[in-house]
Amino acid sequence: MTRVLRLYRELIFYTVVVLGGFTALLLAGIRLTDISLFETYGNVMSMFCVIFPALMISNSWATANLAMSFGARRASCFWSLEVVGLLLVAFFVGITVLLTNLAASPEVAPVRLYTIPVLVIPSISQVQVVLFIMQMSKGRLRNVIWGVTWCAGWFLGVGIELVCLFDDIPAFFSPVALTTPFWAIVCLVFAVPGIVFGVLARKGMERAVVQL
Amino acid sequence: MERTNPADGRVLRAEGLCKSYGKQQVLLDLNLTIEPGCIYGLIGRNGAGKTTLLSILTGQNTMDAGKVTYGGEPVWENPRALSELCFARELNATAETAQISVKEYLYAGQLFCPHWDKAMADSLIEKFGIDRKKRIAKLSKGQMSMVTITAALASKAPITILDEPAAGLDVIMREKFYRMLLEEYAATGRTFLVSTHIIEEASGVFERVIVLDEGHIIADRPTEELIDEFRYVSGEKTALDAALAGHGVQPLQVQELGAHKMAAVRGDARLFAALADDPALTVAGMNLQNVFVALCGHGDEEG
Amino acid sequence: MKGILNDQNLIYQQIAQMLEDGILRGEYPEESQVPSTNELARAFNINPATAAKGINRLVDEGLLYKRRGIGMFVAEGALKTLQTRRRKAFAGEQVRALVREAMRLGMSREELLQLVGDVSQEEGLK
Repeated sequence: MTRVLRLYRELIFYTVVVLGGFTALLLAGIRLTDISLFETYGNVMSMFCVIFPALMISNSWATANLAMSFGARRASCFWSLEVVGLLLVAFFVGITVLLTNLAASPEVAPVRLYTIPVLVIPSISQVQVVLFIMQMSKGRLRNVIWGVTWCAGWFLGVGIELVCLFDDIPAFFSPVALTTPFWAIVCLVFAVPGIVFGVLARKGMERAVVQL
Repeated sequence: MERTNPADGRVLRAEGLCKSYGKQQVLLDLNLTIEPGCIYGLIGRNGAGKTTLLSILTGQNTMDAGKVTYGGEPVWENPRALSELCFARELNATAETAQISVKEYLYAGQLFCPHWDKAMADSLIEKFGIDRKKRIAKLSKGQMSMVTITAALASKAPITILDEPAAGLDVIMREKFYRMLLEEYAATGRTFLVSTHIIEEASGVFERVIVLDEGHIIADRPTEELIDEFRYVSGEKTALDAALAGHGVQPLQVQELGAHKMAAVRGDARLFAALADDPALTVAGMNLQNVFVALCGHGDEEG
Repeated sequence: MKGILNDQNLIYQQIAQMLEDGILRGEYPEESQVPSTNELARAFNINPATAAKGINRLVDEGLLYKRRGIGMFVAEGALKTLQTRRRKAFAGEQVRALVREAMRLGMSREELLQLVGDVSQEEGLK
């Protein structure tokens, strides 16, 4: 498995350097200047961080295929992708926490330790869904399912934000959030597809066909 | 000259392979043995299932029934077997992996092929004049073939399988490729299995030829032995028909031209000597391509 | 160099034929070395096993022998052996083909013999 992971060294390196650097730039801009643009970007960035790992894993599927075409075991490739996915989730959640807490914006409450699962669980679940979808043969069906999943994800995300807006429910990153039953249930709801698709992806991987 | 063959006599064997895509049966009860130290040619029509067969042999595709073993052990997900097999697949711009750079592609080869010869890979890429930083999708078809060939040769795998390695290469590059292949074989005695549909050029390179037609292997013989079983027999129509009927021979292919008739005939030395003795007939040899067309061209005849 | 090989005859037979012609023509005198399997394979871009088959045929016929560690050499008496064998084939193949062609051209036996005599004279056959 270490050999497959070595194929991802560039991906991880550039992610950390580029996005880490960008984050540092935003933070510098927010703390040191009065330009509201930085804050806007900071807010947007922290929202998007939840989906970045899944996006990058979908782009990494080709690398797994490449490894398998040279004789890497399917199990090694699968677990490598899971490890990379987890590393990415950790990194991006870290960025979200940094941006949210150091941005010192009055509208957004700082992230506390018990809020972390609300960020981590959906992100990991998305990675599992992606791992499942990417195993389908490259083609129209996979593109359609990918598109539908994307849209569903967006609707879900926007829906949750709207619910927060119009009801009296605390905002997503509010420290009160996880102590309310509502967000605990949200967490579990996201965890279920994560586990289901994770298992399906692992099972599917056992019979995966290498496509070059 | 010292010839090292790390395979140590391990045989790659497929037994009772069956594979279908949906309703279409691609491989049916297929048996194949690849012995070490030989250059095999796998020939078959487009869509005959060559790539499917090769991907199943290397554990990269699933089969509906049957088994594939290397040295007695199953190939599927078996690191010991997989590390000794190299499958250099055809690259194309629409591939899943087309956005990967040449450098990354070769690095993957280096990681997973335990016998990888980095110096050879580097020198070949330089000789081919390919920019390592370029993405595979941006290469020409010929350059993609050259990258595949580089990986196949540099892998130094005991059994190396190449799928249409000459696709996209011009005739001069193809000759160069055959020369490289033969030199590598002469130096190391590695086993090569090359699938191609550019048959005649390559026939001198293959020690054994495997013919895949409609899901079955219809021939698996030393190349020249197979070719020697076929002749073109031609002559005046009635004379030819009489002669063939007299020997109880059914021609594989016939072509009529006025009163003249030509037939592709399969038989043994005795039959051909008898036919050659007949003053009304002309007997001529066939090359591998002619043999292939005679065997697999059924149903496609004109007139 | 592969272009020299035709696709009507098996490659190993053509290689054997080429070496035989060389011996007959005096290019490879007795006890001289002939190209090795690998040299032949390289020259014609063919599998060494095929080249070896051609050489082995000549070894089986007693025309070549192997000197360990050095290569293949023309055997003593190879020229004689070859001439005898080729004469037999000459009758069955070339002469027969000549006669058949003459028949197709509507020549008589006398005409053919006359022709052979004339050409022999021109070529200096004693």
